Amino acid sequence: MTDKKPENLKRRGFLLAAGVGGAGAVAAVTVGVGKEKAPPVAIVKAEDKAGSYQETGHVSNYYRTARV
Amino acid sequence: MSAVLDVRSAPVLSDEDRARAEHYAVLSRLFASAPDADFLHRLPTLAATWGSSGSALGQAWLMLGDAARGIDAEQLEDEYTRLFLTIGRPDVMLFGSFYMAGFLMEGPVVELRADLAELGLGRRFGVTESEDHIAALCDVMRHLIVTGPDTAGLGRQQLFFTRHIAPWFEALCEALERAPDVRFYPRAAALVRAFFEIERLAFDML
Repeated sequence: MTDKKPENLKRRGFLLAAGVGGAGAVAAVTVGVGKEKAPPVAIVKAEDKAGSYQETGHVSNYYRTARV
Repeated sequence: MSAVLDVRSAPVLSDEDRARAEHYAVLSRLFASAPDADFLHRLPTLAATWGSSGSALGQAWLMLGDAARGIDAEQLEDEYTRLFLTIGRPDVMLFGSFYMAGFLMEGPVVELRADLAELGLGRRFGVTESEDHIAALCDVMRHLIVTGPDTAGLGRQQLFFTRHIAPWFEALCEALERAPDVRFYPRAAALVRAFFEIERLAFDML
């Protein structure tokens, strides 16, 4: 938690109460958050087309979203 | 500070940001292409994790888990193809521009590209779908969450969501719910609606 301002605590409480967080966060179902690089704005296909990934000036670090 | 810092390639996420990122990942995967058997089989597990009768989101998860159990990957691919990939005019469009401007590749895409460029993002080489595809927008949101959980990052998330997702997700959900002869994607629509509604309300609290 990088921000402990009251308004964000309120937001946090709302998210947790709405079911976003808690046990679900522990499930860590997505693969490689913060570990695997992925293409930007990937219209992701089931098969990983990482081979077509091109690192250009427009491409920033981006974390894998395709595989869940 | 003399404390040893835990240096990582991405900021440490709070529970709720991790859950948000994972929801965006799931939604992206649901709409990017027909879920394959592997992903389809994981949905009931996810539903058991996030499902609950006590919230709209939890209920949507339970129903999606049931829907996943009741369909196989081949049937789901048929449904996906019929709904989204029909040549000419698919039953349901997955592109924001269609809902926001009435046509594909209209002004909203131009604005979206400008915002993406500002964020240092662009379309992956070889991708033919335009950037306003719902899966692409979910990818961007997830990226913004995992790279920027701080106040400035939240501001970027709020701006992107408000400009590019909030104006049309309900129309998409209505189209999915109206589609004839489908059984999986109306359930996916319920998850979209429940999660994005939470996102919208939560951003309003910033």
